[in-house]
Parts: sequence; structure tokens; C-alpha cells
Amino acid sequence: MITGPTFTTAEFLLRPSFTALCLLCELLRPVSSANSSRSLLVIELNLGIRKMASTACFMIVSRNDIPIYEAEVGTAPKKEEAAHQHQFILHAALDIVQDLAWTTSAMFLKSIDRFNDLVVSVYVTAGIHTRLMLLHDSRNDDGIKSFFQEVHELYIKISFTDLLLQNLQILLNPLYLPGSRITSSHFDTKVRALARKYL
Amino acid sequence: MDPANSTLGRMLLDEITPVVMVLRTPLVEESSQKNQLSFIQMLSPFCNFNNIDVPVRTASDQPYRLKKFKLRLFYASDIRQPNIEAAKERLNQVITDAGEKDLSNLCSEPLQIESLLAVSSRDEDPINKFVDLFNINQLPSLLNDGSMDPKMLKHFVLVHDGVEVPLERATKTLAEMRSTFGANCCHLLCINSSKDGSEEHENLWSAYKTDISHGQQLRCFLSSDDLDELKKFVQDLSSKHIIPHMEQKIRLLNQQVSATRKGFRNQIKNLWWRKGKEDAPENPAGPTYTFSSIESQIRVLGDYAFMLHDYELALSNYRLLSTDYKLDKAWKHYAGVQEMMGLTYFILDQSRKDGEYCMENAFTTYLKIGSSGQRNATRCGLWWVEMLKARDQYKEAASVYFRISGEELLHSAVMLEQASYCYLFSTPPMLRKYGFHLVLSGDLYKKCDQIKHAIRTYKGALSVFKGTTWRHIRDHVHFHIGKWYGFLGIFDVAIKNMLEVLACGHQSKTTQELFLKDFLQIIQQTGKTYEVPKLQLPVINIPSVKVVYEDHRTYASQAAIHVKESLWRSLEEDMIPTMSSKSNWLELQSKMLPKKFKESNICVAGEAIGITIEFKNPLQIPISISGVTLICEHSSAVSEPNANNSIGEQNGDTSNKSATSGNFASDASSFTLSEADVALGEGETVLVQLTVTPRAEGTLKIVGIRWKLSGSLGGFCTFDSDLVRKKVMKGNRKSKRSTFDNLKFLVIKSLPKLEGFIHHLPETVYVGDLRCISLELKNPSKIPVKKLKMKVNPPMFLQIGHKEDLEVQFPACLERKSSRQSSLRSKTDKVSDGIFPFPEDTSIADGTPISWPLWLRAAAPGKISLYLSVYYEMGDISSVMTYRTLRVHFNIEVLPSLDVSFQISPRPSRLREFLVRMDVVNRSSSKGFQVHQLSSVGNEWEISLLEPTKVLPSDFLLAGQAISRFLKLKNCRSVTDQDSASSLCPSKKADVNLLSGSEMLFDLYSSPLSMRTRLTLYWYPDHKVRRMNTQIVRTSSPIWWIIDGPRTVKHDFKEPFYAITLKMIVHNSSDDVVSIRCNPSDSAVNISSSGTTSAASGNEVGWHDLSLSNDIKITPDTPGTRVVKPMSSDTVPPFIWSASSSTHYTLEPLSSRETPMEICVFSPGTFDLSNYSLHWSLSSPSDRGDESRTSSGTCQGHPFYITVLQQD
Repeated sequence: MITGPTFTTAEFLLRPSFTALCLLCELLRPVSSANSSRSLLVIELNLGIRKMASTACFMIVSRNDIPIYEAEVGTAPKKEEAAHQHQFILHAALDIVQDLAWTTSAMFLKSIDRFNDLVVSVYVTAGIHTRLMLLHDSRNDDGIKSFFQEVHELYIKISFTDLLLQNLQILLNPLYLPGSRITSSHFDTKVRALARKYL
Repeated sequence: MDPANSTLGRMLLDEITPVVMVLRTPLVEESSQKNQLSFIQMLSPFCNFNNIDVPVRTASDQPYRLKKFKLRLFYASDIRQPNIEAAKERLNQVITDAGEKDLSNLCSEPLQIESLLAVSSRDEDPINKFVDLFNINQLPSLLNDGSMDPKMLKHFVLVHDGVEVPLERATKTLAEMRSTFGANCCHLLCINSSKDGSEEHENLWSAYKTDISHGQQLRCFLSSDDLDELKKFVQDLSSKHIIPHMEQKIRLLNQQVSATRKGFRNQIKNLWWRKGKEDAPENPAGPTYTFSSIESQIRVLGDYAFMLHDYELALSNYRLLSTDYKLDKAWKHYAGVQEMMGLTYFILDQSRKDGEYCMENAFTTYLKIGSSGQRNATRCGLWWVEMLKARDQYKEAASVYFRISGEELLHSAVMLEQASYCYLFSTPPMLRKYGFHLVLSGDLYKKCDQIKHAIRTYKGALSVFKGTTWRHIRDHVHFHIGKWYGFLGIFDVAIKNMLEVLACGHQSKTTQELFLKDFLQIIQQTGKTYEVPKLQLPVINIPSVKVVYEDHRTYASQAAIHVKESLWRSLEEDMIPTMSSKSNWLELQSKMLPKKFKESNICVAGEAIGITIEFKNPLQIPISISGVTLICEHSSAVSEPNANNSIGEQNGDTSNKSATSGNFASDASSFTLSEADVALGEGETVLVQLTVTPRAEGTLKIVGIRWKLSGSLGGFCTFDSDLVRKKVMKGNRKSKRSTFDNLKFLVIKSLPKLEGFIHHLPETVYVGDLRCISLELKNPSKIPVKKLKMKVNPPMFLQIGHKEDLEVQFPACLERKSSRQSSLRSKTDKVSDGIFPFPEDTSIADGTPISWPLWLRAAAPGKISLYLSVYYEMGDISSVMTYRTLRVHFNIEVLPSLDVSFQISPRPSRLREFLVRMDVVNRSSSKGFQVHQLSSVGNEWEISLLEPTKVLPSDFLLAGQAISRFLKLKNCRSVTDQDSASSLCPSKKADVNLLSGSEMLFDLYSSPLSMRTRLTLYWYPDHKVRRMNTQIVRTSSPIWWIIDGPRTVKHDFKEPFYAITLKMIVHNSSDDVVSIRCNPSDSAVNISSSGTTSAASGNEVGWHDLSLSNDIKITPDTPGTRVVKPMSSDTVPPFIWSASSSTHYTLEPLSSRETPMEICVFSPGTFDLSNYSLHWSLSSPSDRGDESRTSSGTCQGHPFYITVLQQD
């Protein structure tokens, strides 16, 4: 007589095929007192994933290495001292980006540089070679990648009209340098919302 | 690249060499000290052999020749475990000393520190042959506790001082020594042979160490023979004693090692033996090995082989050893061996990967064993870095440096700095990393109070970050450099750097405060006031600079300055001399002035040049600016008008650049400056107005502006020619000239200048308001001005009055007086072309003002700008400018008041009479008015109320209220008036008083206004007189006529027809004789057609709307527009003209005539008698040349209805 494999609850949880969806179903199932410890475990796991980066400094750097947007998007209270340190680290990381950008076609360059606990991830846009840089202390690569992609989309949208104008200006004025500072408050709110969502 | 030739390779060859321990008696030292040298110092120059060329045979049978060899000499007391604290102190000292030197020095020789450190660390290395150096402070203990082999090669040297001891005695002693120690190992060394000396002899026995100090001092007591002997001695020592001894030892040890460890059996045995030891309690420092243990033997063998450059042998031994140590968990020893393996790999230039792996292994192992391994780790790291550097792997080297930097601050600082240099040297240079690491190291230096080093590193970083747009970085670097220089008391550089960060609008408020506070503190410490260019606080908006000056155009007020030049020019066009004004005085100038000044702006001595500049505070904290003044240069170089240009210029440049307002408001004689203080709030922008008043002739150049920040720091800013785009109130010339020139002025001799003020100027007036304002002109100068002319714009609002108008009381002057003479004005006063010339004898000087009245009449509502320009000529002919203009500009606001409209229709029954309906609406928002009087202009018209009642509904017209009045208008022109027509004497009935209870009437002609209007309404607001002028009537036909007769007749029609007699009264209102033909027409069709043609010809009689008139609604009773009902041709006309078909007569001017007319009617009814036409023509056509008047025309008959009733 053949019987299928039976799992204890613990084994069930640890099965490799166990997906996040199942986790969610488990979580939503009415919890009896008997397995309350298990559901607690699940919640903790969940929290572990969603923990937001305590330090995160996001910058957009134009082709000429001029920062056109900067925002501290971490949850940690903002420190005076940190602002210039973050700039230093990101600025220095540009050297690495410069090296890497010619060796890979990938847009998302994860953890290319680090300083103590802080890691620099970069997203290089294809056409105009604008770099989205994030200094972070979390290891949530997927979230960071999504964050970059969405911000990139947003950036394209918000600067679309600008770009058109710029192209026009380029035509008219050969001395025009593209990549002016982003001052839109709409963009700022959106970026911060995305940071809360993904980081 | 040959690794032996790299820096690291040379260092290895230099540093990993046999050490000779030197023991000497004090007397030896004493005799050496005669030459200011220690004994070792005396010997050491000869210890370095670059081409010793000794054959060596080590483990293998193949001999090879050793080219390079070196000995290191040490005193016995120095051979010990180097004291770490001492080394640290030394490092500290070196760094501090270096800091005292020129700061950039170290920058160029970064290896110096490191090599010193390396030296001190490297001292351990040869001792680590027996890698077992714990707790040993003195060499004897090192020898005694068994970690070193005490059976060392000994060599005895007798030092013979040629001065003090005779040679015989020395040789004798030598012989004694030889007999004692053996002939080979004894040597006589003669020194100081150049003088007499006593005998000294010493035992020297060789050991393992040396220093590398070079004997730089002069060996005053040493003859050349002595030097040769020294050299020979050391060479013999190494080639005949040390090297053979080492060879021998290597061979011996190799045999031992081969016997015990080589071969399969030995390996198994060894492994088993090690395994057995595993259970033993682990010594935290690892097992100790004595010199006689096999591990130590292998290590010694390896080291000896390394020193004799037999690297293959060394490597194989190290490899063997490392596995042993690893199994034994003797981590420190293991790391040491790994380190040596790495170095050996390097020097062999084999397998880079293995070498790096060994170094990495050693490094991590050292770190693993904790604090005791820290220094070894550092040393190992440095070897590693050198290895990487030798292979141009700078990026990796930098990261190793970064790993070496530990907790110790100074140490880390040095390492980080080195890391930064590695980034700089890497290809491509990683400049940003370089800068970042320099800043990191600078921070650490600062923490160790090494301010000078901190500054040096930051300055290096600055070269990267200069001009960066990463503002936080720039601010951080500049601020710290500035602050540290401030600590050092080098204030000028400190200030220069701090200046960079002052305009930090992007920083937070606290940071801004910090920056400003620290900056001011530095300024205070200097104790003096600094002047700096390009002070960024406040931000000066140079393109906003506006310059206002007066040449031949002068301005009465600020408001006049801001008016567009073109407006003034069009106003003054006719007034200034016909030959273009500019060329006029320019020509004059060109005779008087050198050519180069021709392009300059002209200004007059004693008259201020004003400059307006925008100051902006970029910070979120308020700042105070004081003492804002202009910087000007004045030179008085225009004295030689006809001099050779070039020479003149040179002279002008060299000798006359006397008065620059550089440091003080100097040379008050040539110009004076105004000063302003400004307090700028958060992010505020303030316009500052400054003036400079030249006092003497010459050229004046406005160079820039200076100010003081917070009362302590002076800033100045020059108006660079590229930056300023000045807006001068200048006409055509500014476009082609740079601003640089525009700020240069030619100062000419002081001229009289009129000042003008407007008195009694109201700010707001109501439409129709009439005010007398007076223009006061003053000339403070002694020189009189003459030939004044004036023009105003727009003339509808502003009219120039008469001198007498000033004295009259207004509005009382308008009241009708019995005598009229004063109110009539002479034709000569009339303004021609709007230019009003002042009386010929007018001359203004010495500050006595003259006033001239102006009538301000608010013609239309709105904001009105009024312009007034006064032209005057200098009384003094010698002056450069012959004339000037004074421009006055002011604004008034005109509010709406009464809105008047008239409806005028001819009165049917009366000749030359009209009915007038006047509607008055008060359009003002709040004001009430009293309507006072309505007047008609000229002597042709009489006006009166239709009902001569005095009962009016309301005197006072409130806001928004409207009233209507019915009036009749009568043409009263008659022959009797003809001779006095030109006097324009109005008839007494031309005015009607509309205000109950007041008998006062205003005299239309005493008012200063022109006669263009026909009806004038006067009203009071709060007891002031306003008037409204309306032009309403004009006729184009010179004749008036009316049909008079019964309107209703009764007839019994017993006769077939009934004749009615009528009369037509025709009046000629023109001044010419008019011939008139009356054409009655029976045909209704004809009437109709003639009616249309006459309407089309436009010569109809009646009232015409004139576009000039304001707010008038006229419903003209034009016959042409009246549709005559066409009658069918079948029907018999209801009546026929019976008297005559046509009458023709002439009328004298202003006369009337009655002609009888008769019609026959056939039946009762109502008949319209308008089917006639009057043809008129002027008998003497237009000898006056009046184009507008027509000489003939046809008029349709007025409607006249007659009703015939059947009489019973």
C-alpha cells in the first residue's frame, strides 16, 4: 500500500516549493490556539522582508556627473553629518560605475561599491546615460530593482516635456548642457512614496 | 618587470640580510667618537656590496655567484624585540616633524613615512627566524632562552687608534688574540692613523644585525688608508667568514631536514606524530619552538637560503614548514611562513595568484590571532601592498590599504592616505575615490590633532572637488580647510576657503548659522577688517545694475528716469534745436575733448550718478550689510585737448590715476560717494541705490562696489565688463558699446541745472476735474539759464496756463464778473505746436524759483501719465553743453464722475430753436455731486430751461443716481452781433444755472481752456468746480427755414378746392449771401426720389453726430431718413402747390425773409406738406478758403401737417 508523504506543520513550512502565496494563505487561515506559535513565526518572517531601509540616500546624476535630484529616503532620522558623507560615498562610487558601465549592458548594477555598512546600487539608464544611485544598508535587491525601474519610468514621464524642450534647445543652441536640476515637487512626493513601497 | 628591480624587490634585498651583532668596549666607542661617529656608523658605509661576486654553493651542487650582499650592524643592546610603543612614538614624531616642514613635501614623498614604519616593523623579520619572540626585552635573554642558536660565528677585531697607541703594541696584542681565538677570526682594524694615539683593542664578535645609517659626517681623523682598511675589513668579514659560514650551515641543515622530513616515510611519520599532538591543550599563542626543534631548523634553513638568494630552496622549505605549523595550529608562525612564501613567490616572479593567496592568508591569519597579530598584520599588509604596487595593481593595493587601517587613528590616517594615492595611480585614475579617501584620512588626522596633515590631505582632495556641483561635498571640504587654517592662525587662507561656503542656501538653517558663525569668528580673530573679492554674501545681481546719470537730459524725479527714452524723445523732438541736438553738442565737444573720450558718457561735475543694484540674501538667516559704497576711479586727464592721442593717453594713465577710492573714501575733492546700510532678511532681495558725485572735471570710472558684512568683513565686487548689462537711460548709443565703457564717464565743468517740482498735485481726480497746479523751476547755480521752452503731453489733460493764473483764486476766478476784459486772452499767448515758450526775458539763476501755472483737466478716466519737458539754454556760452532739458513725469488717477448725454431735436414750431434733453448719471463710486451750470459756448446760442421753474427734484446727485433736464437752445445770431463776432463775446443767456438757490454763474471764458467745446456743464463736488465739455451741434447747411401757417382749417368744400395760404420763413445763418430756390413738387414719386438722392449726396440739413463729442447721443431729425410714403401715380395728389411753381431769391447774411406759399386742397384730410425742396447756394463761394463748407445743397422740406376738416 502506497501512502503519500505526510508533512508535519514545520516540514510543510520548510518545503522548498512553499511559495509566498501559500504563506499568505496560511496566514489568512483562522488561527487556532494550537498553531499560534507558527503563525507568529510567519508574521515575523513577513516583517523581516518588509523592514524598510533605515538609511537610504537616493540621487539622480546626470551625464556630466551633476546631481540633478537628491533625497534622503531612509527611515532613520536625518542627521546633518550624514548628508555630506552620503554624497562622498556616492560620488566616489561613480568611479566604479564608470569602470563597470563599459563592461556590462545591464542597467541595474547591484552593490557595486560599499563603505562600511553602506552599499551603493546603481541603475544606469540606456539613452541619456543618467544614473540613478541608491546608498542603502538593506539587502533587498528585488525591492531596489523595482524601485529603480519605477523611478526611471517616473523620471522619463516627468521629464518628457522637458526633454522635448531640451531637444529643441539643443537644436537651437549647440552650447546647451542637458540635465538640469529636477525641482518638481510632484516628482519628489512620488519618489518618496516609491521608496516607502519598495525599500 | 624584474621583481628584484622593483621597489619591493630592492627593499627585500636590502632588508632581509644577515645581521651582525656588535659588542664593543667603551674605549672603542670613544675613539670612534673622535670622528663624531659611533662604531657602527663608521663601519656601515662599507656593509653594502653591490658587486661582491662571491661564489656560493648551497643545497644543490651547482655553485652560483652572489652579486649583491649586505650586512646590517646592530649593537647588542639594540637586538631585541622592537618596542611597539617606541615605534609608535617615533611614527608620531616623524609625522609631527613632517607636519612642521613644508606641507607639500610629504605629499610628494608619501613612501617616506611608510618606509620608516616598515623599517621599524621589518626589524622583527630576521629575528623571526625563530619566530618565537615573546616577552623578550634584551638580547641576552633572547640568546639564553633558547630561541636563538648561541653557537654563532664569532669574529674578533682589534681596533687600533693610530694616534694614541704605537703600532707595535697593537700587533703584539693581535698575536696574542690569534693564539687565543684562532688565526682566522681575528683582525686588526687601524683607525685614526692620521694622528698619534694610544692603543686600544677590542673584541668584536659577529652576530646578525645592522643599521643602515650612512656616515655623512666628515671623518676628520680617518686617513684614506684607514678607509681602505675599513672597507677591506668588512668585505673580508662577509666574503670570507659570513657567507661561507652560512653556506656551511645551509648544507648542514638541509641534510638534517632531508633526513628527517623528506621522503614518503618521513612524511607519514610526521603526520602521525602531529596527529598525536592534537589532543594536547592548545596554547593560545601556539606551541613554542626552540632553535633546536626541527621546525625552527627548517625556518632557519629557509631564511638562510633566502638571504643567499636561493629562493627555490627557501620556498620549498617554507612550504614544508607551513603545513606543519598549520597542523600544529601555530597560527602566528604559520602566518609568518605564509608571508615569507608570498615574498618568495614575488621575488621569483612566479604564480602571482599563489603569492597573493599567501599574503591574503597571512594577513587574515594575523588578524585572526587578535591584537598581538595586529602589527604583524600591518607589516604583512604593507608587503602585500608593495607587491600589488609593483605589479601596477593599484586598485587592489588601495583596498588592502583600506583593510590595514585599523582602530588606531593615526595609523589609519596614514593608511587611508596611502590608499588614496593608490587610487590616484591606478589606471584610469579614480579621482573621486582619491578625493574621498583623502577626506577620510584628513578627518582621522584631525582627530589625532595633526591639523597640518589634515589640511594637506584636504587640500589634495580639493584639487578633485574644486568646482564640483556636489554641494555638500564642496561645502564640507572648504569649510573644514578654512576652519583648520583658522586654528593654525593662517587667516587669509582660512578666509578664502570659508568664503566658498558662505552662500550655502541649500544647507539647513543650523548649518548656515554654523558656517557664518565660524567664519565671523575667524574674522574676529584676525583683529582687522579684511577685504575680499567675490564675497558671496550677499549675492549681487550684476545684470540688474542700472546706471542713471544726466547729461543734457535731466530728470526732475525718479519717476521721470524710468520713462522710456523714446517717449521723451518724441516729446522733445520739436523743442530741441533743429540741427539734431546730439550732433550739435557732440561736435562742440569733439573740438574740446580728445578723441578717446568721445565715446564716454557725459556727466556734469556736481551732479550725482546713481546706480541701482540688487542685493540678495541666499541664506535662511538674516544678515546685515553696512557701508555699501561704490568704488570709483577719477582722473583729471582731459586738460590737453589737442595733444597727440597716444601720448596723451599714456600720460593720462600713468600720472593721473590718482584718485581711486581704494581703501578710503579718499580724495574727497574729486568725487563723493554715498553710503547705504542694508539689513537683509531671510532670502530677501533688496534694491540698493548708490550715488557718486564727481566734483572735478576729468574722467570718472565706476569700478565696482564695496560693502561690509556684519560690520567686520569687507567685500568688494567689480563690475566686470562681460557681466554687466546695464540699462542706461540712454538712447541710441548704448547698443554698440560695452558696459565697461558705459561705466566710464566724462566729467565736464559744472553747469546750471534746473530743478523742477510740481506743487498742488492731487493723486486722484474725478473726470472733468479742473485744477491749477504749478510748476516750480529753480536753478541753484549762479549761471542763469535762458530761452526756456516747455512742452506737455497729453495736451488733453495738461495745458499751460498764464503767469497771471497763479494769482487768481480758484474757483472764484471763474465767477462771472461785470467786466470781461481780463477774461479775454490775446492771441499771442496761444501755444503753437504745443510748444510753449516762456517769456523772452525769463532767466532763472541763484536759486530763486519761478513758478508757472498748469491747468490739469481730467478728460478721461483711468491712470494717466503726464509728461512735461522744459528746454533751456545756458546763459554761459563757454560751457560744453549749450542746452539741457528737464524732464518731469507724474501720474494721476482719474476716477469716473458724471456721465452726461444730450438729446437734441429741433423744435418744430419755432425757427432756430432746439429742444435739449440732458441726462446726467453719477458714475463715481461714492462721491456725490451738485450740478451747477450749463453753458453754451460762443455767441450763437442761448440756452435756458424749458420750464423756467426753479423747483428741481434734487440738487445733490448721489453716487449712481441720474437726473434729466429739459432745455431749449436758441440760435440768436443776428446782424447786430456781426461786428463784434470776433470778440467772441458770449450772450448773456449762454449759461443756465441749474443749482437752486445760487445766483453765481461761472464765466466760461475765464477758464483757461480752449473753445473747442460747445456745451459746458459745471458741477460741484464738495465745493470745487468741475466742468464737462460737450460738443454737440453743428450744421452743415447755412439756412434755417420753417413753414408757418394754420394747422387746422375748416372748410365746407362747396368750392371744388380750397386754397390755404402759408408762409415760409427762411433765415440765412451764414456770413455769406445765399441764394435760395424753393421747389414745390406735386409728384409724390418725385419727392420720394429726390429725397433719397439728397440723402445720398450728404448735403442734407440737420444735426450730425460728431465723433469728437463725448457721451452724446443725438437723435437727429434728418429729413432724408424719413420715409415718404410713395403714392401711386394714378391717384390725384391730395393737394397742389398753387402759388408758384418755384421761387428764387437771395438772402443777405444773417437775415430772414418770409415768402408766401399757397396750396389747394380738394377734400378734407391731413396733408403732409414736406414735398418741397430748398436749393441753396453760396453766392460768393468760399473766398475764405474753408474747405469743409459746401457751397450749395438741396434740403428736403420739414414735415408740416395740416388738417382740413369738413365744415358743416
